[in-house]
Amino acid sequence: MIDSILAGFALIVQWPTPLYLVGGVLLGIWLGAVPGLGGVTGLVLILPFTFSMEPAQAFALLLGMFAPITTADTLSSVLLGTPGTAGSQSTVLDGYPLAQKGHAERALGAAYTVSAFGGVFGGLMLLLFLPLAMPIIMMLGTPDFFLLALLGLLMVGSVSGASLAKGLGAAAIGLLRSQVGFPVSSPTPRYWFGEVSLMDGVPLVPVVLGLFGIAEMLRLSLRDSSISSVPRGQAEGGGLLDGIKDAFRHRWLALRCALLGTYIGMLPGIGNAVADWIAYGHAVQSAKDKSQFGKGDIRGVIAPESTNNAVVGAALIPTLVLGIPGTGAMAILLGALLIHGLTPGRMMMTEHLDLTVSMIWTIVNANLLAAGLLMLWGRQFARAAFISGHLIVPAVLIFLFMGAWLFAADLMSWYMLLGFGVVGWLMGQAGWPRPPLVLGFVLGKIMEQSAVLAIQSYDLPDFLSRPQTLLLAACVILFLIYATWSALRTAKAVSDNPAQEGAARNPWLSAAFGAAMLALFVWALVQALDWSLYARTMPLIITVSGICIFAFTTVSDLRRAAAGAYQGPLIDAPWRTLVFFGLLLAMVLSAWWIGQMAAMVSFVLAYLLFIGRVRPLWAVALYALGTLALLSFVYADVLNVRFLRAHLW
Amino acid sequence: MQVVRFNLGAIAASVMVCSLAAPASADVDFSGETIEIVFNTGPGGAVGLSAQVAAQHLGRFVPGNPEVIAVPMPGGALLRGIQYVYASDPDGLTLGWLAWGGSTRVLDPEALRVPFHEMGILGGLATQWVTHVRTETSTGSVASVEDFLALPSIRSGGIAPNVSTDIRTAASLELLGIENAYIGGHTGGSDVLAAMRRGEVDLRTGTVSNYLTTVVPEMVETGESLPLYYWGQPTEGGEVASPALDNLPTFYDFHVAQVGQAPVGPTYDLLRYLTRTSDGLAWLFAAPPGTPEEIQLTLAAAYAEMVEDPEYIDAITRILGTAPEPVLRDEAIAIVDEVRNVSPQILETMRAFIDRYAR
Repeated sequence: MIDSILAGFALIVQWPTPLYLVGGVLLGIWLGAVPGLGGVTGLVLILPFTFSMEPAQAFALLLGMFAPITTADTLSSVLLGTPGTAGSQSTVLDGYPLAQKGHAERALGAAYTVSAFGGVFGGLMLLLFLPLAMPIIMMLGTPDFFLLALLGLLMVGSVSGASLAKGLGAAAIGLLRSQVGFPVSSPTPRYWFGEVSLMDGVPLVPVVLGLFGIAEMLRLSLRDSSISSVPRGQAEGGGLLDGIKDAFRHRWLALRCALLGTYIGMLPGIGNAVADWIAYGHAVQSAKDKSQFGKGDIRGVIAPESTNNAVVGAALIPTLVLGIPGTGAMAILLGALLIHGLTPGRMMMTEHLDLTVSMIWTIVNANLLAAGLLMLWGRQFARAAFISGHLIVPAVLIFLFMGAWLFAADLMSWYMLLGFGVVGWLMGQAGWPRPPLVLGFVLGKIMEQSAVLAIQSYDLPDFLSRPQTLLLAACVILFLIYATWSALRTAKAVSDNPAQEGAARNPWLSAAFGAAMLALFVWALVQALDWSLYARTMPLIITVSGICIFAFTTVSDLRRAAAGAYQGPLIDAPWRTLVFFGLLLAMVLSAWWIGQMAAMVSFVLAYLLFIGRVRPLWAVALYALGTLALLSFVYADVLNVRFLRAHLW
Repeated sequence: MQVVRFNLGAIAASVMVCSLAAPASADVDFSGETIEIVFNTGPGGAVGLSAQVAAQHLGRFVPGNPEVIAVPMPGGALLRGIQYVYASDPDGLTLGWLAWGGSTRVLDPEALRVPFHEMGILGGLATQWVTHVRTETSTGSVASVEDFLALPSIRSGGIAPNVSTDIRTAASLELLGIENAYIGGHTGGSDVLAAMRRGEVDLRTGTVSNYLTTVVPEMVETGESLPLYYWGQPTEGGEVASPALDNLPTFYDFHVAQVGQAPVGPTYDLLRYLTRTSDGLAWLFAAPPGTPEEIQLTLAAAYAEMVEDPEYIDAITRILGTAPEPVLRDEAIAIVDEVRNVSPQILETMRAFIDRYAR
């Protein structure tokens, strides 16, 4: 084994492999930092260039690019309140409030430290578990996946803010969204409105980018200030070194979350989008003082960032050892193995062990290099929190819309992004927390699929004879009791931060939102009644639960409203909000007529001139030209994006 | 539920009018152009990788040596990419490398059906599927084919009841007289493989590529699984044997050897139809409707040259695990026509299988 470790190291230091590794890391940092790009885009982009390379060089480039993405995506989560990738969704919850307090550098310092740790840990676990992987992966079956997903869903209390009922309601909305498209083992799609784009379900990218990204950009735009509400010189204790110290102070949390990420990463089909939330929930549940979560608790950054980097190395285990890719990115890496004439399985642990070990070295080095580079540049990046929000908003919105377009190049993805942006804003205004919606959305499909498969594959005695299933079921029950007690206790504390998820807002608006959801769920219930058994079971459970929750919240809100419990406005800055969404809608609708690039550049110009009132005019023109250059060069030429052309002329 | 109709006919008509109005070029030359090969699955996987390999090599054989890129367009149960190619400009710059699934799409609602015959068919690739069983099943051990045939029932794993492979697995088991306890709902072939390795399903049908690269070394050679048969291309009175699978019988031979007679009847007719049209043209290489004939012929000729090229064969063989089985333009057109003219009896049998296993 020592020989293989040395041989693997020799492979990655052999020139020009280090060059590919560094190139990959730089590319990965860019792909992670820009919301909506991410690992799959990068792998698609560079895979053809690796066809003619030696295998070690090819995987140095591929994994060098892929491994640090979950490190770099923290930038967007912390600075913009928008998850850079699906693996850093929960980082937003405390990372962005830290940036708003002027502690962006601290959040980034902590995140990079634990990301490097998690990445190295995941890589070492890959090395350690290679020979033992098979029994560990095979130990958990579909009933256990269901229970694991259920355990994740129970984290809803941890991300609901002040109102558990609204958190449950938001989770129900997410669960219902997850039911769109083909059900498990039935040939008729659900809730798809005859729209082909919805046949495979609502995609995650527009949901997350819309709910968080667009809503946060609106909020930033309305503030007429920088992301940080504290001037740069006055943000005490918010430096990079403070973050590194935080990471060491909470080292056991980082270790537990890295272990969690390693195990979840090994399970095919679960992935980063789930691990991230489970880690955050664990951080909240295991903390003695929970009062700062959602307002800028550094532990809310450390937990998911340690986990999501550990997932990457661990996810390679089933791919390399069993030839079973758990995620889309792993499917591409599996393809890369085949292209290079490598067969996943035992050969990777015998004949090609040196190459397998070189991949581990690549992951370890890429994580360390990326964290080091990001630390070096951290101060510069963190400055973004102190510049005018109006200079950030249009650029980020262009990235968000291009992210949705990259995911699915049709206007439906833009409609969905904008639609979820409105939903995200409305939920914020009405005091409904958004994270449970994402949690329900991510877990709904996994829960339904694993439940249906488990029912088909196992009988009741089988369930009862599986110790791992019984153990997980016990965990679920215990956690349910603890989470309920904990959430009820938290709910008693009145939120003092109106920007916090689920903070108390105007009860009339909240009641209207609840009533609208009630109507939606009744409609969804009626639709589901005629479907086949497996197709309707999950929607029935979700809709009936949702109807009860929304009836309760609507009545509660109406009571609060009647009691005059809230004196604030119905909606913050309604006219400016209308103009903001109006400009975005104009961009989306005009894209078909005047072409996508022209629509986006026009939006940027209109935003800077009329909302941001940016001056001098030459700076506005320069900004618009920069946008055009970005779209033409980066997206059209490098990423091969097909833009919608003009249909008016 | 409101159904937004996808009016392919109207799009095709307008596209064809446009192409007829344009002056036809005598010399097709793609110098300085970029051809997009759109594939309708996510990146990775056999469809995406084979599209990327085609993109890497095709340009050498097209007049003017254009740049060729592969672009993923997944979604809509594989329909999004198909619709995109169908509605693209017929200028030869947008081509489709499509997991077309035409053999079962004939049962789709009218609004979702795609008139593949209107497209400019350029060629494609054929494939094969191998059925294998766990040696330890929920109803008993399987050390031999005889043990398998003695099982009262078997848990076959699949994706959805309307998937061609799942229908054929069910049809094969029915012909062999084994009850099929179908477990559908897996997200893909590798998901079924994972379930099989966990012991949640007993029998699975996978691509020849997956069989040769993963199943044989990891499951067959370790005694975890027993290969049974593959569906060979139907011929008069039998099925064609594949050189890549010389140790395995075709389903026809398997049936004759184990049951003592040739398989016959509507179920076997369905099996033959699906094998001919699904495996005989697994991936369709096509241009949008209305693409001028000379462009079609030029691109089809380039494809025919490419599939004979040793560099291309070497690259695609690594992905498929076996030498590619190219389908040239005329054969591909013939298969698309067979799907278009499928008999009502076959459709009825197929629908019955789907209804039986839909949950």
